[in-house]
Amino acid sequence: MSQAPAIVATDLRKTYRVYKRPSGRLLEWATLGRVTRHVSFEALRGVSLEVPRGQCLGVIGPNGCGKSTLLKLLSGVLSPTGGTFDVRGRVFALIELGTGFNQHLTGSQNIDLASGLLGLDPKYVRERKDQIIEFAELEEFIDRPMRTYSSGMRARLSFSLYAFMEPDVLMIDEAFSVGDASFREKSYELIERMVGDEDRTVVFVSHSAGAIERLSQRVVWMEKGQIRQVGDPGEVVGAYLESVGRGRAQASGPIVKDGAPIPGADESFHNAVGDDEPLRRAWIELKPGHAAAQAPAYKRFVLGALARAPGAGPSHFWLEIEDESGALVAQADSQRLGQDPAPHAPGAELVMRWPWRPVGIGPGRYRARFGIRGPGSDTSGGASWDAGWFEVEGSRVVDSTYHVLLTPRVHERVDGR
Amino acid sequence: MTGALLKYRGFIWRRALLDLRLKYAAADLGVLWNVLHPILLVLIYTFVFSFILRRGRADGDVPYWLFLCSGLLPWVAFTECVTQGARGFQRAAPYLRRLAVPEEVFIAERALSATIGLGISFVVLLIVALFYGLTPTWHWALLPVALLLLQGLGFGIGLTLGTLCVFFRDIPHALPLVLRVGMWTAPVLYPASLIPERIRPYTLAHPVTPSMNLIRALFLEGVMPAWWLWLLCLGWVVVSVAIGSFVLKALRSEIRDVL
Repeated sequence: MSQAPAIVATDLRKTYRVYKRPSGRLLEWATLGRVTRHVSFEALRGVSLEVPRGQCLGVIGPNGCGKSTLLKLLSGVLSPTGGTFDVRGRVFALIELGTGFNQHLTGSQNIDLASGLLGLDPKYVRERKDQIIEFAELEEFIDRPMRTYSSGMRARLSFSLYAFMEPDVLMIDEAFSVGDASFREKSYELIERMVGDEDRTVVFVSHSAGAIERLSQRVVWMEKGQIRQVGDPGEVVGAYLESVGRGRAQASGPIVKDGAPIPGADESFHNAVGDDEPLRRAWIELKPGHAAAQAPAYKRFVLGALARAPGAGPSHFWLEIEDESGALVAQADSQRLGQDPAPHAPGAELVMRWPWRPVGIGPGRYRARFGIRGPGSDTSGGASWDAGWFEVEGSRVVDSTYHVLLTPRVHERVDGR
Repeated sequence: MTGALLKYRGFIWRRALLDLRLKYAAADLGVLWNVLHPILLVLIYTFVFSFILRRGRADGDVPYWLFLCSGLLPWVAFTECVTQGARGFQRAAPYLRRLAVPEEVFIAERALSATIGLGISFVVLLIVALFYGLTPTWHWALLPVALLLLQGLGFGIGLTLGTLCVFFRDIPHALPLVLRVGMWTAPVLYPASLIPERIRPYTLAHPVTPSMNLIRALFLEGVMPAWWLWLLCLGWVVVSVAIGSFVLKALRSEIRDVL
């Protein structure tokens, strides 16, 4: 890695001036700034980072933390209030997907026009047009006006367009909140290829912890316009998810002796096939003891499991949720959540209850994986069990997605409870 | 600024042509309307002033309708330049918010599309004038220069207003009124010769007056305008574009924050 980094930013700052009314600005001009009529809003307060070539940098953080502002500064859309940055090579920034197209023109004409917007030679775009259309899976629609496109189709077209223009640096902001799972998967693979094989650099801003963790080599966690943590994806994303979850966690001991009754086999989404299978049952509860066939979108529910421990306690427990594309949408770990390892007898049947609050999770199919491991930091003596698919039902109302897993409650099974 | 306009010249051209196409996108005749519009306008004035008002000669032996059209068509294109320029950044907000395209490109695109429209309508006017029996002179060859100078002024003003409109949303509302005053204070609908002699030199302070005088002299009178009149027109273009560039430069970093 002797090459110069693709992106270097030093102490980037962005302060917006917010005027209550436009005349305030006029007054400031007239008095040459002696009168102040604005309130400053610091969207970015000194961000420094460096991205080597051929890496994907993930940027994660709550709404309004400055992720998008950072991207707009690096791509030259906004000018910084302070600090310097240098981005090497051709930069494309995909900000707010699927907009900026002309509604009256066909998809094909919009591709032609985009060359201008990106400052490219029209011939360059034309040569790659077939690839773009094929990747976007829009062969049938490409000669229809853009206004007939669904938002997913628009998103597909704009991502394909940018990805095939061979940028040296590609910046993507919340690109995959629309669009179906299979296209998302395809796009992730394309990004992985661009970064891994073609030595391109990607900055990926998303609320989706799973996507960030999968695509990035390094992750920046932003909070209130500053970098809170930067480093290894698993570490930073884990810390971020914990921080979001901890604020809402319910106080609960690692083992609850008098747990609620566990649902019957017909109320579970997973049932063990033979006597040998350690994961006996997995189910959804709206609250402990009240099983449900489907989980409600955007609401609190509990994922429960009954499993036979592979060894003696004490143990830590973990849970991972994937969506249909295989992207990790949520994960939790009783150790990371600050729980003590739970004591239990060797081979005991354990009841785990994970209160889950999927903030902004849309309806769909999700896959749960329950895990157990020893108290040490090593994972020896552990096991994990795939509980298969469960459904989340409801209507999609929030486009950005992050997920919060809460502290699990685990206890030994006593008298069928 | 010139650099950005040069780099994006292809884009500006395509967007300008697109403007003309999409202006009548929903209509069956589509692009044809760009030609039909000036033809109908010229025909209406011809009819009204030749047969109904019988307003014969405006200046010398030129019929009034011809005189009127030769001033009104450029004026319409000029106001298009100014009003579209003023709204230019707001209309381009979806692009400006997420693409690093230089701002002035979007004003240039509007100015160019108005200028192409003017080119079309003026060609129509020339053809009608030939049919009427006006003898063409070599001075007609200089008409594009005169028209471009007027549009250059329109671009400069549009650039200035476009930037200011981002911050002061009152401007688009005041603009039609100001333009109306501008039209009546310049010799657009009436010949400059109607203005009392003693105040006539002062009317040259109106930015549009020199261009109007140029266009009329070349087109209708077949005389070469004085060199200082050309220089005056060019001066207005330089001043307006300089002001526009200065205002844009001063406020550029804030435009996208506010949009």
